[in-house]
Amino acid sequence: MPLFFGKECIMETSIKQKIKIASLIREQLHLLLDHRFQEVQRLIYVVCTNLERLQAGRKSLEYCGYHNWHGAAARLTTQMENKLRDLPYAAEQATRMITNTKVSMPPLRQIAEELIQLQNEFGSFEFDLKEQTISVLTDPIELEGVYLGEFEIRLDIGKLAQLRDCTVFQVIAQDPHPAAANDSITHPHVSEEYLCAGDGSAALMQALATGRICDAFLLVKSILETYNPSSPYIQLDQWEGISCYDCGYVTDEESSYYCEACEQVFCGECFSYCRSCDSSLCRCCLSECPACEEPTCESCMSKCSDCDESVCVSCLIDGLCPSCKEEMEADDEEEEIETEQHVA
Amino acid sequence: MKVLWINNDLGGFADYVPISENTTVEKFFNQQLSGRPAEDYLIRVNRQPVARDYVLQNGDRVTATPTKVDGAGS
Repeated sequence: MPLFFGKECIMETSIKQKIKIASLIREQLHLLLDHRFQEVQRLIYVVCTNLERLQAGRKSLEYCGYHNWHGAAARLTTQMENKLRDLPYAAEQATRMITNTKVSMPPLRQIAEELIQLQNEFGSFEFDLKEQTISVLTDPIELEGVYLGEFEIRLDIGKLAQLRDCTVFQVIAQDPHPAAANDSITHPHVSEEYLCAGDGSAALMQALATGRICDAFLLVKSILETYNPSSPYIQLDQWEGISCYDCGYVTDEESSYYCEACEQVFCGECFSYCRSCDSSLCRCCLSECPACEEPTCESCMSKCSDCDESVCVSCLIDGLCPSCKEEMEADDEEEEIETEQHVA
Repeated sequence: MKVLWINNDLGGFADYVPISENTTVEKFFNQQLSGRPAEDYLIRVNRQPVARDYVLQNGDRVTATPTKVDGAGS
């Protein structure tokens, strides 16, 4: 049996094997439809409960009017106002879910044909019986001159029954070329191995719910082969370079700085120098002197012998911080005046 | 005469569409997705790639999957 990214794969699956996989998919699609009908039931229940409460509120309001209970009537109408506001949302949700149930269950043969097409479109596919996943490999992908490598697109058949978003698919970089700022972003639209399908979401969900497995894989491939500069996890023009340890901004080597204290690399904005000894350090390794408010390194900070507050060596006079020094001078002056008066 | 038309762009819905005789796949695509360049779509008839002058037959299954789809992220 041939190998497909290190595992046994089904390159020339028999019709029998394909029917077995198709059967698993169909089972999940049945469960998905069951879940959707249950969801319709739940949403209709929410609509009905709101209506019942409004009806009860209407009767109580009538009673309040009969007795001229204006305070109670005001409280009731506020409650009814909230229910009325909730109603259109609940009704819209229910209508949307009803639309989702209007899918025809694909026959087994059709799903098996999807698998044959999948094999034709991608050259091969892998089926993992234990994990119940179907995987294909893309060609190496390069976007705007940035090489991202090959990706495995993996469909988790077991998640089809809970189909809510694109997390049924995992997109796994085979030779990862992640963004400099974040190792888990292997593609502008993939983070933590999950795809953000954007404009492709609706078509992808529809393809999966109707058993058009091959179309769904092709759509994922199309998303991976397209760069949307208006909404990526990380812009491609910031893909390569050196990421600032503090803010994550990506710069080239010439514009990045190494901090000898914490041994990390920073951008110009997050890097500074000690105003006392001129040593270059990142802003995290520099403290602000409370007296002059200038960035100062740890070795140029010293404690005031009176109040114990740390200030930079430039601000320390006779072992005292400026405020203690000032206080001491004021005390001395006062003492001098007192002595003069005493002598006089 | 009608064909099953599956448009994987946007909503991705399937529908039966009536066609006249001798409609080529190119003409059909231009009717359904007028103004869109065919090269931006993967077009299959009965799950197979076909030439642009392929004449559609009654009951054919035509799919168009965009090859450029904007994903998202942030």
